[in-house]
Amino acid sequence: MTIHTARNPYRDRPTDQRSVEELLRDCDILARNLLWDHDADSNARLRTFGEVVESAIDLWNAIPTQVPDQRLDGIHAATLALHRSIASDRTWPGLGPPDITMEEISANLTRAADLISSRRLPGIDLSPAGEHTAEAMRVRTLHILHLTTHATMLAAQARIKDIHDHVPSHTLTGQARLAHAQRSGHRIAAIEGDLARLIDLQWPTGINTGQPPDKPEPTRLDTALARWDVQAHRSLAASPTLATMLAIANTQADLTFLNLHITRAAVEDGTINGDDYQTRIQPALEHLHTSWTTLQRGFAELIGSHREIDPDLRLTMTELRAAVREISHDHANLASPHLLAQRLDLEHALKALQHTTSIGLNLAYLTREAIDTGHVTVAARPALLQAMASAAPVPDGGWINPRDLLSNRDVTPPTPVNTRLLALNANVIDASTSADSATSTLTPTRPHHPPAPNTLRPSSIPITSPTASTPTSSPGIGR
Amino acid sequence: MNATATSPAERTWLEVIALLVAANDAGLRDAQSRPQDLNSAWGAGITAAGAIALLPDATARQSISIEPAVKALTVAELIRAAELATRAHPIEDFPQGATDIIIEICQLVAEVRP
Repeated sequence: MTIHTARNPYRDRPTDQRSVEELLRDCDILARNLLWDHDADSNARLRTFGEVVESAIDLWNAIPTQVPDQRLDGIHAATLALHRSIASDRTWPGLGPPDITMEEISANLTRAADLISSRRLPGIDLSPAGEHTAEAMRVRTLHILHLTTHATMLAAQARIKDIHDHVPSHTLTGQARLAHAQRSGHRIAAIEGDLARLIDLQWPTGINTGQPPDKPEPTRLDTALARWDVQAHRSLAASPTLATMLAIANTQADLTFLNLHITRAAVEDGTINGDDYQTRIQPALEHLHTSWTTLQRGFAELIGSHREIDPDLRLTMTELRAAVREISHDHANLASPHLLAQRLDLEHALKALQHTTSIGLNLAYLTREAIDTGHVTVAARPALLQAMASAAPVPDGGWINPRDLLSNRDVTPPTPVNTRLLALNANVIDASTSADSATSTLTPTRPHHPPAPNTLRPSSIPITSPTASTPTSSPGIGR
Repeated sequence: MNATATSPAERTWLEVIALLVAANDAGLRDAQSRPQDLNSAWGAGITAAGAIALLPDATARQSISIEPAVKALTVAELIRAAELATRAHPIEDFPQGATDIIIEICQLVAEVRP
C-alpha cells in the first residue's frame, strides 16, 4: 500500500547539511574556479567583491578566539573605501547582475559563520585541538579571500586592457574611464597585498599534519603596525582634518624610511636577493619617502587652528614610533646593517614593513576622498599666499574673504590650493604603487626559519599611556 | 609670538608646542644630512599633539610662531629648548596632564643626546 501524504514545502525543503569544513572546502574550489574562468564578466566580479569580503569578515569574527582578532579590519576598511569609490563612478562596474560564483562563495562563508555562531557557547575556553582548528579556519578564510581578491584583480586588469583596446585614449571620457579603472585596480592590488602578507605572517606550521601549530608570535612591530592600520583608517574616516592627515603622512614617511633602512641591511646581510635593489627597489622606496615628506610639508604649511588629533591615533603613533625606534636605532644613531642583522629576523621584519606601503596607499586614497569632497579646511593666510602664487585667475570676490584673512580663520581651500594638495597626494599614490611593485620582487636567498618563539618579543605590551610604551633597551624582533 | 593665552604658563605651553612642531619640521628639513633624527622628530610631532590636547579649545587654537633663528636649530636643539621652556613654571601652573608630556620630552632629550 502506498501512502500519499501532502507535500510540506517547509519540512521538505532541502537543507544544507555541509559542515563548516565542507563549506570552506567548497569555497576554496569555487574561488579557484574564479581564477580559471577567463571569460568572466569583470563588472559582475567587482560588483560582488565587497559581498565576499563582508561574508569572510563575518566568518572571521565568528571563529572563536581569546581576544578579538582585528587583523582583517584594515582589509574591511579598504574594501569599504573601494566600494564607495566605485559606487560614486557609474562608468565601472555600474548596475547589473552579480557574479554567481562569488555569490555562492559569499553564501557559503555566511553559512559557515552562522553554523559556528549558533553552536559555540560563549565564555568557554577552547581546548588545544580547538585552538588548532580555529587557527586553521582563519588561514583557510584568508586563503579563500586571497584567491577571490586575486580573481577580482584579474577582472580589473581585463577592464583596463579593454579600455586600452576599445576606448579612444585621447578623449576625456576615455582618460577618465582608464583612470578610474586603474585606481580601482591599485586598490584591489593593495588589498591583495595585505592578504598575502597576512597569510604569510600568520601561517601556522603543521596545520594539515595533526601537529599543534607552531604559531609565530606577533612581534611588537607587527602588533603596532596592525593597530596603526586600523586606527589610521578609523581616525581619517571620523575626522578627516589636515591635522590627522599631517600625522598620517608623518608616520608613513617614517615607516618608509625604516623600510628602506631594513631593506638595505637585508641586502647587505645577504638575507634577500639584492639584484634589483640599487636599480629598482632603493629608488622606489626613496621616491616614496620623498613623496610622503613632501605631502607632510604641504599639509604643515596650511595647518590652521584645528591642530588636535584623535587621542587614540596619538597613542597608536606613540607605540608605533617606540616599536620602530627600538629596531632602527643604536642610542642616538641609526643601527648599523650588521647590528640590524644581529637584532632582527630581517625577512620577517621586511614582510611586516612591506605591508606599510599598501596601508599607505589605502590611506592616500582616503585622503584624496576627503580633499575631493571638501572636508578639509586650511588656514586662510598661507592658503592665500599659495593661491596668489599660482597662475590661476583670481575670482571676482578674491581667493579668501578679508575677514577670514584678518583672523587667519580656517577656510575651505581655494581651488589652486586644493589642486596642489591633490597633486601631492597623487604623487604618494603613484609612488606607493611603484614601491609595492618593486618590493614584491624581493626574494629570500635561503629558506626562512623563523626564530624560536621565546626569542620573539610578544605583542602583549600594553598601551596604557604614551609614556608607558616608550622604547626600551631590548630589541623587539629578536634573533 | 602673537598668542593671547590667558596665563603666562599657558603662553609658555604654547611656546613648548611651537618648539616641538619646529623640531618635527626640522626633521624633514635635515632628513638627508641627519636621518638618525627623523624618528625623534616624529616623536616631537606626536608629543606636540599631546601637548595641544591638554589646552582648552580657545587656547589650543591660538596661532603661535617662533623666531626664524630658532626654527633654524637642529632637531636635538629644538627638543632641548622645549624641555628648558617647561622649567619656567611650577608644574601645577601648566595644564593638567603636563607631567606625561614633560616625561615624553625628557625621553626625546635622552634620545637625541650624543
